[in-house]
Amino acid sequence: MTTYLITHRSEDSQLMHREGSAEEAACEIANQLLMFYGPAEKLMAIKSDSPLATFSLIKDDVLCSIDVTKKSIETWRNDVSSIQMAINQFHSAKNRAESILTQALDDLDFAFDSSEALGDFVPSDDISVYGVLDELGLSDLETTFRRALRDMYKFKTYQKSVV
Amino acid sequence: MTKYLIFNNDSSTGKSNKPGSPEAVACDIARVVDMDESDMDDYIAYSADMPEATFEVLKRLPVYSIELTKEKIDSWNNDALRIFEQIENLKQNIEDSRESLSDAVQALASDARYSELFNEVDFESQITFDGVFDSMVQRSEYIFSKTIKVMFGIKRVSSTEGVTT
Repeated sequence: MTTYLITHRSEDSQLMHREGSAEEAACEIANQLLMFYGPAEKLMAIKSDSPLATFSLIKDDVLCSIDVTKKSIETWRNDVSSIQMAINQFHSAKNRAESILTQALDDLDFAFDSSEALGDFVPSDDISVYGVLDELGLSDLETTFRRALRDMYKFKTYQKSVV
Repeated sequence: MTKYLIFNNDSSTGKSNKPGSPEAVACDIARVVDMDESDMDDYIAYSADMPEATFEVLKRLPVYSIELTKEKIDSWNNDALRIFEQIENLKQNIEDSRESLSDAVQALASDARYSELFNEVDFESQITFDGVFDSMVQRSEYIFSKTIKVMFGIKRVSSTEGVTT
């Protein structure tokens, strides 16, 4: 098992992780667990027992650490990506539902609004598409997904020390 | 203004109101107020001053009574039916959304079953479908039913089982 410390890659860094390397996978995993807004290439993985790791720790540059093995990297590449894709598809279905239902509710509002006798009622005041879809539990699903990943890769975040 | 009495109809008698007639409109309004999936011929309406109405009342109480004018019937045909169509459209879209989200979560559960890391995670149980979408359907039906009830002044006389108290 290897522990990697993950840091931001500096803009002028020439060091790129080799495609298919454990470091590259470590950055992808950290990117997912940190919910980092940017590509995994913006991160750098450093073996925890290297001098550079000590230097990064002293500089307070470390974002998190993760433990990987050959097998857990394989799991990441084969297993996790398919689960992530399925979760993304669920997201897309939810977004489509949101858009379709919002349109249908707008049409209903319009039908009420164009009626002389029933114009005072605004259905969307009583029905919330977003509220309904939020109740589905998508956030629980993602929490479960992340928890399993955090446990598997022994994910640990590093807080910046205050001087 | 004509008052109509609306009774439960036994379809085996072959009796029904003429489609488009004020009696049929009265029954349609009653079905919307009921908010259930009743059939067109589940109710039959008679003008209160017709002998058929008197004859029926001797046998049983009507379920609803309603007073209709030509304007009210026009309003039903022009406004209410358009709204009804949009409610049906919303219900269909809710059903389609439920189905596509259910397919997506089943695909996720199926991928998880073959996964080394996630095979013990029960993703399906974390997603709640029925209560969520059912409340939306019920809410839209309730709004329409309440609106129609107020607009057309339909009155419940007895429950389907007996006289209301």
